[in-house]
Amino acid sequence: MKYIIKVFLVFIILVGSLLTNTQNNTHAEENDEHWKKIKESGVLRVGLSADYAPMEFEKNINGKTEYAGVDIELAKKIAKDNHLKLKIINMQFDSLLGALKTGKIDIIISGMTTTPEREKEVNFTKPYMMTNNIMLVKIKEKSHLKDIKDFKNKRIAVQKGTDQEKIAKTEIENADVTSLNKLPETILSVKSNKADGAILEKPVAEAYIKQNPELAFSDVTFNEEKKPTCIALPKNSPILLKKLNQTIDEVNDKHLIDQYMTQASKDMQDDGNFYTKYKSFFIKGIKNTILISIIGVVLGAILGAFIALMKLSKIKPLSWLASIYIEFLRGTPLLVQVFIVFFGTTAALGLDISALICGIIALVINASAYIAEIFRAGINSIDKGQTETARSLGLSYNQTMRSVIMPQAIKNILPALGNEFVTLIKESSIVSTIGVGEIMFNAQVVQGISFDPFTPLLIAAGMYFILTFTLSRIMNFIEGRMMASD
Amino acid sequence: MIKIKNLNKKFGNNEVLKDINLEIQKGEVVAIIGPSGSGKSTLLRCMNLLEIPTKGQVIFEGNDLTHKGIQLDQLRQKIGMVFQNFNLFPHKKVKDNIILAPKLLKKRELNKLNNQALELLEKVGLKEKAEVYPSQLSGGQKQRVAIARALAMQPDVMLFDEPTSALDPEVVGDVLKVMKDLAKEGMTMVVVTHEMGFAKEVSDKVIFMADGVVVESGKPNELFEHPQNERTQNFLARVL
Repeated sequence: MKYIIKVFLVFIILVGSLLTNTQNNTHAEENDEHWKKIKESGVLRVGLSADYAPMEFEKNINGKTEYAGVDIELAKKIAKDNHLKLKIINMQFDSLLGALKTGKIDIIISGMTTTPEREKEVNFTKPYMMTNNIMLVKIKEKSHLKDIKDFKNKRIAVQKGTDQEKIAKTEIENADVTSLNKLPETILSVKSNKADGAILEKPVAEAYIKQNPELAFSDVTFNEEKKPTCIALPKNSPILLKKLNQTIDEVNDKHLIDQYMTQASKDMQDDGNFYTKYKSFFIKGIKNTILISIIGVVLGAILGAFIALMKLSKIKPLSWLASIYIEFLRGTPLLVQVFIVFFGTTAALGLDISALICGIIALVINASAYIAEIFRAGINSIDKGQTETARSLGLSYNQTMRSVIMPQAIKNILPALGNEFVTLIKESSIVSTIGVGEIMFNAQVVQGISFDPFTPLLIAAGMYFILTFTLSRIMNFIEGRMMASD
Repeated sequence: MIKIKNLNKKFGNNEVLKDINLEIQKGEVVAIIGPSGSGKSTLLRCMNLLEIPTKGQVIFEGNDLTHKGIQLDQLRQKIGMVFQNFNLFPHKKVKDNIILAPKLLKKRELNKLNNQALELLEKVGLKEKAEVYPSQLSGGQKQRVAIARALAMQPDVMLFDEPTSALDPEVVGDVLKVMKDLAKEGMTMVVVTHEMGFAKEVSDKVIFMADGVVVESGKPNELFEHPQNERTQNFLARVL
C-alpha cells in the first residue's frame, strides 16, 4: 500500500513539474519574472564563495572586510551597465546553486565552470574566461620536471574531490597522490618537500607564485580541454541572460579580464605587511577562541558539578547514568562529538543552530565529563571523617558540602580545573572543522587569501601559546595565594 | 535518654551487632569496653545513626531515629560526638571550628557564639589557641578543641569514640581530665575506651562487649572486681 502511494506521489510530482515547466516556457519569451524582480528592487544580488583568490577573496581595508577579485570587478561592471546596485552575498561554494534556485541570490559569479550536472539545475552565460590546470613545482626542480613522464612515481598533492585529483590519478603514471582538504595545504606540501608537485587551476597558481618566489609552473600540459568559466542564472530568464551576455561580450572584446586580473593581484598584495593586512582576522579569531573557551569552562564546570554530584549520589540509577555519560564522552573523540552535535541538531532534531552554538555545546558537554571527574576526585580526596563530623553536629548534607567539604576540595579541584581550561583552549581549535571562526579557522582563511601557507600557522601557534601560558601563570598565582592560607 | 532495642547491624554477610538491648539514663556515664572488632564503635555510631542499623530501634528522648522521615539533622544537634581522629576542619581556625555548626544552624547571635567559643576554649585550657589553624595544634590539643566544638551545640548527650587512642601517652591525661570535668557537671556520656582506669574511676556503668553482643554489664567496681563471665575475666586479665 505504502509503495503504491509512493509511486502515485512520484507520478504527481513528475506531471506537476512538467506542467510548470511548459507553462514557464510559453511565458518566458515575453515575460522574465527574475529580471522584473531585479529591476523593481534595483539591487543585483550576486552569490559567490569568497575563498578563491584571485577570482574572489576577502580583503581588509582600514579594518573593514571588503570583497575583491576578478569576479567582483565583473559583477561591478554588470551592475553598472544595468544601473543596479550591487550586493555581494558570500556563502559556501556548494550552497550557491541551492541559493540561486530558491531565490536567495539572483546570479552566481564564483569562478564556476560548466558541467552537465550544473546545466540541469541552472543556465549559464557565455564564458568570460577559459581555465586549465597546471603543475606547480619548486623553481629549482623545474628544469628536470618538464614532461608528464618526469612525474612518474613522484609525489603529487591535490585538493580532495576535485578535477585535479582525477588528473593526477589518470594522467600520471604510478603517481603517489596525496589528497588534502584545503588548497593551501597542497602548496605547503610542495614548499616543504612533502610533494614534488601540486596540480591546481592556473589563475590560482599564478597568485601563489607571486607570493612564493621559490615556486614555478612546470612545462607539463595535461590532456584535458580548457574549461569555460561562466555566470550562472536561473532557468527561464531570457532577458537577464541577454543583459549578462551583452556585458560579457564587451568584456571579452576589450580584454577586460586581463585588467581585472592585474587589479586583483594588486589587491592581493597591496598595503603594508602581513601583520597589518591580516591582523583583523587573528583578532576576530582570538576573541572567538577566548569566548568559546570561557563559556566552555564555566558552563562545563556547572554541568560537571551536577554530573559529579549525580555520580556520588546514593541513588543508584542516577550514579549509573552519570557514569555512562562520563565514560561515553571521555571514550569518544571530541572531533566526532563536534560533528554529531553539528549534524545531529539538524538531521535528528531539525533545529537550525549556528556552527558557533553547536561548537560551544559540544565543548561544554565534552568538558563537563572531564570536569565532573575532577570534582568527584576532589570531593573524594577529603577524609570521610569530615563529613561524619559535620553530620554528627546536625548539619544537613547540603550544609556539609557547602561549608565543610567544598572549601577543602576546591584546593584540589582548582589546579586541575585550570589544566582543563588550558586543554579546552587548545581543543577549541577542533570546532574550526565546522566553520566556527576561532583562531585556527581564521589562520586557514589567511592561508587562503595570503597565498602564504606557513606564516598563519606560526601566528596561530603563537596565539594559542600566549593564551595558555598566561592562563597557567594566573593559575599558579592563585594556587600560591591559596597555599598561603594553610 | 537513649534506648536501644533489638539492634542488629550487618556489613554484607558480616554480623557486627547481634540483638543489642540497652538503656542509658540521663546524667549517666557509660563506658563500653571490649576487644577490638567486638562492635563497640559500631554500636556507638548507631546511636546517632552514622551507621544505619540493619534491624531494631534507637530511641533518643522518645524519638525513634531509625524511623523514616524523622528530623534526624535536628536530633543530631542534641547528640555530640568526638572521634578518634579529631576530624577538625583544617580550613577553619580553632574558634571558627567551634562556631561553624551553631552559626550555620542559627543557634544564637554571632557575638554570643564567639563568647561561648572562648569560654569553651578556656574550659579545655586552650583559650590562647583561638586564632590558630588546626595544623598548628598537637594531637591532645586537637582532641580538646573537638570536644569544645561538640559542646558548642549544647548537646544532651556526648558520644566518645576511643577519644584517646590516637594520642601520645603523655597528653592522654589532658583529654581525660576534660572528660572527667564534663562528667562531674552531670553530662550524659557514652565512652568507647581502652582506658580501664578512666572507666573504673568515672563511669557509672561499664558494658563489656565481645563478638557483637553485650556479654556483661554493671557498676564498675562489680564488673572489674567480680566479673561473672569467663570472657570478661579473660579480657580483664589481659588488659589490667
